[in-house]
Amino acid sequence: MTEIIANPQAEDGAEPPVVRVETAGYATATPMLFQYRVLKAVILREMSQRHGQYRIGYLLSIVTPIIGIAVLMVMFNFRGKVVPSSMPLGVFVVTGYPLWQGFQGLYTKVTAAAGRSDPLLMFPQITQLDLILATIILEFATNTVVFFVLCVGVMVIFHTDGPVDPLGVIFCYWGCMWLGSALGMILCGLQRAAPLVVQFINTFMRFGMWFSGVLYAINRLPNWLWPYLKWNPILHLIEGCRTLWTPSFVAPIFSPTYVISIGFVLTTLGFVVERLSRRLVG
Amino acid sequence: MSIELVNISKTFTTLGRRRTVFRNFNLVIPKGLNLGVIGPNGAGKSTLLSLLAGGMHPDSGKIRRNMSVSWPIGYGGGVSLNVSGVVNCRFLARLYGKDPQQIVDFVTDFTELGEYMTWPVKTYSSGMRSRLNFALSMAIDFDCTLVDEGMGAGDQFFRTKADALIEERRKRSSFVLVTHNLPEVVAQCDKVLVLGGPEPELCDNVEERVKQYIRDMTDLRDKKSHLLTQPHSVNAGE
Repeated sequence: MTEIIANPQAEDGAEPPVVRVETAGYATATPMLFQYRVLKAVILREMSQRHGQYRIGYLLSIVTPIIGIAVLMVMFNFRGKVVPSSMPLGVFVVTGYPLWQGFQGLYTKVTAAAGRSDPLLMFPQITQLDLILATIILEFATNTVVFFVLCVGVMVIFHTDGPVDPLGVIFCYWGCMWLGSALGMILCGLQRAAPLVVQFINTFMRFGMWFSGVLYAINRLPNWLWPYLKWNPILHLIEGCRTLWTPSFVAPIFSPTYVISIGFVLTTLGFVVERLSRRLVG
Repeated sequence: MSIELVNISKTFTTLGRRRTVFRNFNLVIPKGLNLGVIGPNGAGKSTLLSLLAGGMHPDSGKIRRNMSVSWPIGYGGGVSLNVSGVVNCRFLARLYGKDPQQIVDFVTDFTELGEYMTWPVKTYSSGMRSRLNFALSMAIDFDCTLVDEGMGAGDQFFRTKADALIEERRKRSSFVLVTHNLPEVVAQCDKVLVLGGPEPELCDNVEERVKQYIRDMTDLRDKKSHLLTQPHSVNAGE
């Protein structure tokens, strides 16, 4: 049970008591510690549920995206010259598809977070925001490990140099997941109030990969399309990731400021919608 | 130690229609009180439990909880079917800040599920599931236990054991029992709250009020069946 025991702004002029949270009468904890405990419980449960069903469950979470990448590479080989000449095929794929997957995975899983774990909401300690945060933390951790394995794999298999700016590359990857999380938070809140809107956005997002530079670099497209595609922050991040890995590849569009601004706007909106939907649902 | 509901209002909107379940509702549940909640389907019994537990928030009013309150126990909503009984125990322990091993030991011992505790819950029979659910709900010693639609579980031997545990727990904590099983309310509750009427009604004389409730429900059913069995009158002359 989450219960703020005392009101810090006591009206009768009495000494302001210490705010603490009581948890089922067994242990008292600061709100921060309490929140940490709830998140830890939900994350570990989610991990067991998602990966712990099979002996190789954890391995599968790494192998599945690798298979996706392998299939994409075979496709690129058949399609012929789509990869910029300044960049090995492996680097082009690993700086495109996993970033899109990171964005899409986060936004779909965060959108479904509260619905999927709805029974958990009957525990008074757990809120919709806890489920969302637990999903985000788990996805960030798992995807980062997978991305690291993919990057090392590409460097070993294709005998390519590592990224010139590894920190920049990882920031681009996290940026995609950040945008996915923020969009997921908005859609998670909207899901209950306006499910049709979410369905429409989901349908639209299916085509997102075609406009995000996963299958081709932007300079392969006609110039008149660029002003429209520039609105897409994922395209900025993918193009930026390629530039930061291989400086000889110069991305025509890459604006970290634009991406960060979009990220902050979406995150703020996500928190607002989540709060409103929580009030709406009760 | 008590739970206080002060001027609670709760309205739901379904398919564009608003339905008020509680309007300026007040209730105090002191520690040690066993309260039965009865009423027809849709009267707001489960909503009341969710409000007491904190899983749902009122539209207006305040809920003051000065004692630990369980989640609404009974239908096993918090038990994940895809993971083992042990993982479910650990989850609960982490959530309530208890020692996971202590909870695992209690549940394993009480349910007598043995090695099944390491199997996914979806492989359990319904009896095994309800035993796990019951033991999980009893593993943590709440000041107030919220029970939704009874706690019956397992075979006769297990039921005897479970009844003894409930009895022992009831002596030192509160129970809020939502059920359609009226004899259970009469046998176990100190007060009864009847929902579904114009206003929620709290009564001390449980037996008498339950009898009255049965009479009301019977009259209502008779009226409904009378309406249904009446031949349709068609005014052919007009």
